[in-house]
Amino acid sequence: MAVEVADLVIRHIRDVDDETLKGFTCGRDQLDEFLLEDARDYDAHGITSTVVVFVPGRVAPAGYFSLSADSVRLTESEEFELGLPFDAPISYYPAVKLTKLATSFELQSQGLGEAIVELICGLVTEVPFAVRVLTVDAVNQPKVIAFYERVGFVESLADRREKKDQRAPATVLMVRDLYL
Amino acid sequence: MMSLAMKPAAFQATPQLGPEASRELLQRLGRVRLTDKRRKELADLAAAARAAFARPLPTAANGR
Repeated sequence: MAVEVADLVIRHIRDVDDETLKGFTCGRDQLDEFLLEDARDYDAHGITSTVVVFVPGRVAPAGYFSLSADSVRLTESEEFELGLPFDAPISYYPAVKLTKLATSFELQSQGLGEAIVELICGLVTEVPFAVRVLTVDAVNQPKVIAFYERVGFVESLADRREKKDQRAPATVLMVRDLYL
Repeated sequence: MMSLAMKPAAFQATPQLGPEASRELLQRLGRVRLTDKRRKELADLAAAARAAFARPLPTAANGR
């Protein structure tokens, strides 16, 4: 059964106890360990903010995501190539980085990840400051890249150029324009 | 609490967008403005996010 945005219950990690967090596994040790061992420290130090996701009828977390402020910086020449219909002396586009996204192993391929990304789009446009772009350093695996493409992210060509000498970079920088 | 300096693995060196973003992306950003339709979609998603924070957590009586 597909998970819808309207099904989701979310809480900031500071409002979720450790016992509940222990019920989560996504199948990737690094992401599981981050939630249990690091996410609170990252939050406490202002590095990322983690939100835990639940679905009806399931006490254990269904997923989680972490967000940080980010920016798409422009070179001097790029500032003139933006195509803005007015003069704006900006050196970057305001962005939010999706630093972590994980869904429970038992709930994968049910649309939960897609629903979470939609929810994030709502969250970041709710704040009283501009956010134009979502960014993500996607793990360089076909399934992961395909997921982000499905939810509207495109690969950063600049990132590809910078990594052209790397046979298989660990991550691929992808961006999503919230206005599209 | 363990210091962040003791957890280098958790940081996982990730690339920055760097000083040079893609020209295609930037030109699209500059030429696209928020439409009423997209503004409404984002407002609906923002309302959904508020509702998601407000709903009660699932309880043990409801499932595992």
